[in-house]
Amino acid sequence: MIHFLFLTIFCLAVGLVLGAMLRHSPRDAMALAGWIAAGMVGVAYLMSWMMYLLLP
Amino acid sequence: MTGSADEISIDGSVAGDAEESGTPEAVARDEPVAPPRVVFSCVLAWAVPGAGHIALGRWGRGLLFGSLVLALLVGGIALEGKVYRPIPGEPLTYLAALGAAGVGIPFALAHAFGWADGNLSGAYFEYGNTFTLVAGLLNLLIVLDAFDVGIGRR
Repeated sequence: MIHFLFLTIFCLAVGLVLGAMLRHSPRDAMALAGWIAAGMVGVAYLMSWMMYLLLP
Repeated sequence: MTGSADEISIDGSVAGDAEESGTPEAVARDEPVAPPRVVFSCVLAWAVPGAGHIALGRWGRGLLFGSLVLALLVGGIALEGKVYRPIPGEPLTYLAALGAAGVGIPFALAHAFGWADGNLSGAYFEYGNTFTLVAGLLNLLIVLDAFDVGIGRR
């Protein structure tokens, strides 16, 4: 569980930086940050299950 | 993306309410500044995360970028990760060190005070490595963003 927490913190930090960099208004920046963070967490979660199930 | 005339930005400034050009307030309304000041801001942005944007009048972004980048770096060190340094004979460490050095003065401080070695047997060593490396890479992007702000592209 602590690994997932670190993953989430990392993705939120990266998402916030990219969101603030690519959008001007706080609302747009937060929305983009949320999408980026959610995408990163989702892809990491999916890939971790794929590696667990598919790799020997 | 720039806002409309009355849009409030992340920095709390309202586009179109500044008076002089070349001032931080003018930068906040997307006007270019003198080239030497752009270069100075980029160097400052690299050396101290967030300081380049603050020098250009983008206080909100500067504080946000600085706090996030430093939090990633400090978090990585706290997780017993290493701050990469170039090791002769290992070419990939040169690339990693180049990325980690993107965080500027804190990179030098981490090495000077012996916080950069990490703990290979630590449970979160790889997490820490990723945090410190990405802090540097993000700050390099922030330097580019400071350049864009300085020339009035943002």
